[in-house]
Amino acid sequence: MYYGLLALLTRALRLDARQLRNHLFRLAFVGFIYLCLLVATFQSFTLGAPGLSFFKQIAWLNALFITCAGIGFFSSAITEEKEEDTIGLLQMAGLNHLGILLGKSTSRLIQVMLLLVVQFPFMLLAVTLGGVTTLQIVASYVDLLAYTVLLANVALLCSVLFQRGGTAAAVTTLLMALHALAPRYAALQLTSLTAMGWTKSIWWQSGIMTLLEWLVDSCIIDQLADVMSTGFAKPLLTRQVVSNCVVGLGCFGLSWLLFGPSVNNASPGGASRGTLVRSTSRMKFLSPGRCWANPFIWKDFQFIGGGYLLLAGKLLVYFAVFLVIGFICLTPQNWFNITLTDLGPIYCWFVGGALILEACIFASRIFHDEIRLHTMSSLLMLPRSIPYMGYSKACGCLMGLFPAALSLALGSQALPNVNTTILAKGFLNPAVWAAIMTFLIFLHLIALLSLFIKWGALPAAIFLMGPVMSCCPVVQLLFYVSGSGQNSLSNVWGELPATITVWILTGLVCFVFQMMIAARIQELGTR
Amino acid sequence: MNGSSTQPVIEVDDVVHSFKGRRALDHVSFKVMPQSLHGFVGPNGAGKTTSLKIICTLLRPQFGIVKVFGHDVVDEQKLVRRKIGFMPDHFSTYRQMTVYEYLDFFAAAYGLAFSQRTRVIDEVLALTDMDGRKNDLISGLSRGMQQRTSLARVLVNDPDLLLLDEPASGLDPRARIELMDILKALRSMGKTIFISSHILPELAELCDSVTIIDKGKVMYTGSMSGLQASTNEYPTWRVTFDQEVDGIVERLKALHGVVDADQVEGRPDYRVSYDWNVTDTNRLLRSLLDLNVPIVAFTEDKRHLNDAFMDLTTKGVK
Repeated sequence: MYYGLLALLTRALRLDARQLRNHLFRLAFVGFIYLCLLVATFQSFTLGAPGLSFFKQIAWLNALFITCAGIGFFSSAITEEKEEDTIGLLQMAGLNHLGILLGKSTSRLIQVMLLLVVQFPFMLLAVTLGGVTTLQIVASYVDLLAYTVLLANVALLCSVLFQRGGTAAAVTTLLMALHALAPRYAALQLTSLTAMGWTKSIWWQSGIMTLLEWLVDSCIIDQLADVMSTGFAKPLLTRQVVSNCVVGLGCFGLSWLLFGPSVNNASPGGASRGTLVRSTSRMKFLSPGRCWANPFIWKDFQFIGGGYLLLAGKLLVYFAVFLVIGFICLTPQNWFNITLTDLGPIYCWFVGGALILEACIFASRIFHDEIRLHTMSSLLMLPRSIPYMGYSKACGCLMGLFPAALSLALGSQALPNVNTTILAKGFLNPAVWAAIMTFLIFLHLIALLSLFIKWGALPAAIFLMGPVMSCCPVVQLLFYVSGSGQNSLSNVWGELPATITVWILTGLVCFVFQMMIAARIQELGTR
Repeated sequence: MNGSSTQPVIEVDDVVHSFKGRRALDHVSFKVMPQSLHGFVGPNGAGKTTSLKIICTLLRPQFGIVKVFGHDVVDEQKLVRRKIGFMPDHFSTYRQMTVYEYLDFFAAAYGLAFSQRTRVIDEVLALTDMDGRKNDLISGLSRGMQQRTSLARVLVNDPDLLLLDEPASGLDPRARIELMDILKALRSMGKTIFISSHILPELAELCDSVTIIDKGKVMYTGSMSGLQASTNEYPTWRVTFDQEVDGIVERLKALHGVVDADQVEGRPDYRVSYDWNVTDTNRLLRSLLDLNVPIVAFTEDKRHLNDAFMDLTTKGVK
């Protein structure tokens, strides 16, 4: 029994200990802390309490890293076995459900925890710089460890429930976003309930208020902010630590409970056709039909973009969202306190967010699906160049963005209180173009990373975008050109030349990314 | 080899290729003649897949020249790609597509016009006996059917040369036999087939010529009949008596021209090898009849590719 329970976990930990790159990665993290420490030391000549500034930087960086990298890392624990059809093999090797969960997920949790633990002694150096106490540092690491337990096990549950890593990662992201937003909402409700005269004297009111208080206190963002405040002197076992660990363990228990039914219902190969209609069905007019003259546009529109049915579905959803927001706006004294004048901006923000999210998902899948399905060498054997295939595939994905783009365009033009003058001016505004172009660079980064890493290209790109923006001189120049300062080039040259410069600079960065993508595709094709 | 006067379809000349300091191909040279079925045999890690990838333009040779239909695989990549069909050793299919969509996609990618695509897809589906499954999802097909779909995909651009990397691996015996039948049909249609495989008896039956490679070096290249001579092996025939006979091995060894005889374990089957300078098959059969033991069967022993493979390559699989 014990063999089945710990075999995979022991193996994973041994492998981690043997692989040099894992140690190098941890070393790089420590090196980065040293770099920040060096910056803080120089800051100490001009600023007071540089230790606190250093401590804040590292703590927020850790939280961001755990969230961004952890989502992909943890949510693929079981789905990767499902996608490769190897769950059965693990079970045949004598591993029970608990053993598989411990080996596949808990080992990853330990790896991330080790990354935090290894930093701890170096973080204590912040105390010598002043402005921060040892208790604050210990408390922040305990909070981060508890948050890691929560994230790892929520992702594990999603990994058990869903067949594909992408779906599991998306649901984990949604749940963690809800977890970040729910305390805000809870805090609002708590304030309004108190204003309504609610007290803890009545048992059911007390229950609801306690629940809301727990929700408010369970968020890592609030907790870290609290720890960083001057004069922090609270116990280490806070509500955030307890609630995160308890919910994390609960998710692990649920994963264990649902592992059997989920694995038994798994479809072989994990392949699904999603929303695509078969040509033999009654709704065959919505099926992919025959291939277009450019087969790559057809394939990526149908099989990544979702095809005609998803296109129609998304248009309906965006229209339904418009109706729902409109209905709320028309309701007097609604919960959100919004009126008809807010309809336009809220709708545009929603659809714009959806557009960005969809574009990011497409960028992470455009080439990664070819790796996942082992079709890269077959594509490279075609008498077509890599740029032709790449741009065609991008066009196919862009077609999938049509519903969101159309809704955004219509929403921004037709709805009241959207400042159309700003939109019209934005066409020649270098700052607007810089924002769009930065997003374009971000999409390239996602596509490039998806060719190197098995999962989590999107969170990894979010994490890496910071260094790219701060270290790449061309990107720095982009912001300098588009900036609104007195000496910025847009003020000196005028808007049109500055906008054109932004395009050229972005083209340069994107060209470098595209060359790297093409080289990587060529390399992958030979494997 | 047939048609030695015509231009070779594949010419590999002195190719060297290394990965991270390890030499995968060490001055490899061989030729494949038109309309032949050429076997490419070697143990795991011998350099078969590397050679195939170079021939099909996926990998650039670090040294040496590779020509396909007279076109250099480095300088005339597009021309080569239009004339060849490569089936890798792993399933590379879009599992969420139907068989028809999959073939239609590749046909369009090869630049076939709409009407032409319809005809070509119908033809390859008929050839691979997949016409009844064209609306099935690829993910729902059996391994054998998926392999046929891959083969159908390779055929959509009507290539003159097919490069197949371990096409029968993982297939059940029935699917394997059916695949071999399809390959025979393709050869009769005038295609040149270059097949890398571990299933040696099937290659022996199918192939006109063979290249044996080990540790990146060509150990033999040429016709199947030449392989027997090159390994200095005597012709071997298998005789099956109606029952086991005591002392028969010694009596077989004593026959004129026989150099070796042994029994196939547990059966009244005996392998008899003779020296062709001393006797021939007819005389051997006459001598066997003279033994006055009822003979059930007398067939050529097809063991020689296995033996040659074992003789030419380092023992065992690395």
